[in-house]
Amino acid sequence: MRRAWSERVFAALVRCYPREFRERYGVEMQEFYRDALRENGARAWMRAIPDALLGAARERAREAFSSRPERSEGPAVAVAVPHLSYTTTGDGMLQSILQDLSFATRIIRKNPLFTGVAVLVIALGTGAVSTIFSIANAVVLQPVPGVTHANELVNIERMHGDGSGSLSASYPYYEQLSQRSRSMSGIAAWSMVNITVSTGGEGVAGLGNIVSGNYFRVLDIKPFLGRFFSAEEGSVRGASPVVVLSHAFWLRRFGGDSGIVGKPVLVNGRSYTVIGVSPARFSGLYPMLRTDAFVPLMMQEHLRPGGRLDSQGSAWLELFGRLAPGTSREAAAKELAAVTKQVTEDPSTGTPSFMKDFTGAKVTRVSGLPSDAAGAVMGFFAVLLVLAGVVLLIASVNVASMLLARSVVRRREIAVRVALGAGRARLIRQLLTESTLLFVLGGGAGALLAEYGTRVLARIELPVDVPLVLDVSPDARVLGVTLFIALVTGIVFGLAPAMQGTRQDIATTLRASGAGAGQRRSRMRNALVIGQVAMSLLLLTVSGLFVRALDKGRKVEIGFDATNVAVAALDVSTSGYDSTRSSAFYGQLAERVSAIPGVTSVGFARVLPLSMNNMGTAISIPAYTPPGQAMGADFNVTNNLVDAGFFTATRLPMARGRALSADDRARSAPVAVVNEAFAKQYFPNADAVGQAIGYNGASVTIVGVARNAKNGKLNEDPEPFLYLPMWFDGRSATNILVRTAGDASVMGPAITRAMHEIDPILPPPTYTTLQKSISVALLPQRFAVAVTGALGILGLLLAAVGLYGVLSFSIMQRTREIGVRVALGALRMDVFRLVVGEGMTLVGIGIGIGLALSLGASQALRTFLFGVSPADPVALLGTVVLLAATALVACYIPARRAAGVEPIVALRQE
Amino acid sequence: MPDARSLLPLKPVEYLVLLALVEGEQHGYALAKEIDERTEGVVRLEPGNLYRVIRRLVDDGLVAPAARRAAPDADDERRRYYAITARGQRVAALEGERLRALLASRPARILARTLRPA
Repeated sequence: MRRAWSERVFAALVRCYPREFRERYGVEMQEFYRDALRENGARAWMRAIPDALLGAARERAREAFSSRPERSEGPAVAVAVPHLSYTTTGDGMLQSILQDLSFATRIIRKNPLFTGVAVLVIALGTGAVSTIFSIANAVVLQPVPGVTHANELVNIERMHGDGSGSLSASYPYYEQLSQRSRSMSGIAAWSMVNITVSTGGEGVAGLGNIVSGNYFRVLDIKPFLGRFFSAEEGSVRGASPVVVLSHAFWLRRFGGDSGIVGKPVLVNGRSYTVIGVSPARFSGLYPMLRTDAFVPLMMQEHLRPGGRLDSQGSAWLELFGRLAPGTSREAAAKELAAVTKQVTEDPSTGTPSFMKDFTGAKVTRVSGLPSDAAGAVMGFFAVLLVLAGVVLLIASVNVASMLLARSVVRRREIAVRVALGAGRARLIRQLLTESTLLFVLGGGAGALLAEYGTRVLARIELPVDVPLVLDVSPDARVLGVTLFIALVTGIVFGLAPAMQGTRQDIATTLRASGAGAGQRRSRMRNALVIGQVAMSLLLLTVSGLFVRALDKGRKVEIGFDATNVAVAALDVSTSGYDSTRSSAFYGQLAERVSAIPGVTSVGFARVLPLSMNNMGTAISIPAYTPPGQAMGADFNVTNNLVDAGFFTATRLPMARGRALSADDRARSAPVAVVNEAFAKQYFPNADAVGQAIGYNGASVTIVGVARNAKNGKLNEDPEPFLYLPMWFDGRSATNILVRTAGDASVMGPAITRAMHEIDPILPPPTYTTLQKSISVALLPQRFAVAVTGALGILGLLLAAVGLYGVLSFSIMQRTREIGVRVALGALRMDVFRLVVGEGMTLVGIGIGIGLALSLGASQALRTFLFGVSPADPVALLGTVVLLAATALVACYIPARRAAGVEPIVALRQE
Repeated sequence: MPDARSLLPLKPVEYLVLLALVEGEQHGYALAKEIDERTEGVVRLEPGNLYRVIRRLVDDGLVAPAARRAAPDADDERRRYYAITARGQRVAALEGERLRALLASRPARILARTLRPA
């Protein structure tokens, strides 16, 4: 396991060498490294990685000055003091840099403890940053992999004229847009579709993309095998049952059979011909989602039974396009908005009334996430990245104060050098090289930590019903950013100690005994400690707030009972069922599953509650006027398609009237159930039960009002919600919900058996429980608690170490003074109090500043907090107590030592 | 190609690499291991440094890459082997001569005596 990642780190380092060197020796260096690992294990990478890092730096320098400095590197015997001369000509400059480097390497090797602690502290800080950055990099920053010129690709969304809202595209709208637009060199459409692929016998449930004929052309992708869709397959309806397999699916299901092209497979029960395999790196526009196969849009009648291709009102497609050469995103957005307005207002296009407001278009960079999610996710990662940056800051401050302390110890060495004629600039450069080297080593170790950290985070189980694939391991970009950060922090945090260390009066220093710290220096150290305490308080508060939010989120009244319910997504249309056959099937399935011992009720729902999905539909109410429209006009309402069993399976209570019942289906008059918010908003003065609403051209009678329940998100306010019977809709995609007397998570096999008794070719579904499925609603908070908790504790520990270090150091410096005090009659308790008091004063100031900072910063988190106030007293008080207690421990040890000072020993000390 | 003498003095590590190749071709890792053993662990070459030295020696014509072939010790992977050139042999011999003369000098002999147990 370790081998794999440390080899990858090494390979990334090899990529840092200049191209010429890399091409000549890159492969061999990696072979060497593998051999060394095989023989020496961990010792090999501890030695080889810093060596490769330094080598790369030297090679780069050599390349930059394109001379051959190695031969004239100076005497082979090590000199303790670098040349005192300082030249700025290319060769001399390079030479003195190399000299500084080799001197710094020696200093670093000579103090293994100091180096070890500093590198570890920096590694923790940079590791935190690069872990978060790796994930952000994989999730939001990577463009769609495998695509040519990804920066020319844009998502196109239809929206309100004022820029709000967002609507998928209908096929007629897509056609109009592609015909009329000039700013795009091509517009493609696609949608996700459930498919079942089999080669006879039991099928495999998969996730397909149904795509327009030009999909691969617009992406500019070449097939791995075979070919992509032809013009005819992209334009003639129902005539081309062909399929392109994704590379991963081809490997998994067909064992990488290179003769697959031209062979038939069953897709949703019908024979399709495999025409090609997509390249390995490409996995659809949302690379996080697994894609198994690509099927042409023209086959939609077979693949989405009941879907209406020609209906303007049926919005189900995602659009993206490639910008025409020389066109900016802004210009394209303008043009597409104008075209959308034309299309919407042109009466011949038959745009339904509820879409009349969607006269605008939005054009965004294709990012591998749906564009509405990308913004929120990026904001979330930005917050986490800032917090990780704070940890790095605390760590860097620790190292800065370590360097500062050491510069006191090295005062004599430095004074000797000044006396021998070294300029201050030269000395500062030397000290800076040392600190930068420390930080770069720490950054390298941090990258290794990040590799481990991302593994831990990637293991967090995602309770979602879609197959996610995410490669979050650090790549060359992450490594580059980490080293860059290390380099910059090394310079920034090395500068102050270097300036301080070299500011001195030689004569006094050489004469003085070496004890006693300058006023300025201790003031600076105190400021550093205060800053650390303030920043770690900030981290702890944020993590405390997330803990409170998670706790509150768990206690939110969801309105139904999610315990002991097994759920699974089903779609028998993918096995070739038409709508009559599928509804018969679901009826039979409900009967058989109900007969399983331990099952108390069985229900179906198109969308699982709180799964972060929702669907909407257009309805009308005769006496209701939607805003900005005529009385009785169509408006949109969130809904779900459920059966009678849904209400018992979820124990969703009714406020008035009755739930749906099994015999509603046989009745001639269609019925529906609404929630309390619906009744209150649309029938404020009357009883909603018995009222009629218009749906799809029919009049539907409300038979019951259900209690408000959370449907989409945990922190939503009750919104009008409509429960329509599932048989209103021809499509067969649904979820089965099985309430059991005992543990629901073991029900899966029994349900699959019941299903296979009816039809053995159906693919076995994946089961989970309703409880797990709704926990996805708390995912951002859980993730945030894990990450900010870890960062907070890291920050606290680093700050405690910093405080301890500063106090210990100042006591060491003041041993004499303390000895005098004790000799003059000070009690041990007084000394103890003096030191603790000094430490806790710094902590107190730090806490004050930290509180102010956190109050400001946590405002930005409001949306994630479920109404927990950013000034939540429990979170704030808790973190202050935790911090103060830790600080007290950090003060206690040096204070004990100070109290134990023997005056005779102290006074005799030089 | 510059005169062989102009390459003197060699760096110790360059001399060590040339010595390690005198008795036969070696691949990188075996080379580093032999040097480690010969110097009793004082000179340990990691890949970054080793290949910088090799590059220099190859550029100066002292060492030449040989064909890739399977290493006897490692599975069936094929390795790049390095061989010392005639010029390399000459430069290494000259370097040896130079060192010998240095060691035979009076101050070196006086110093050597200080290490002997009294």
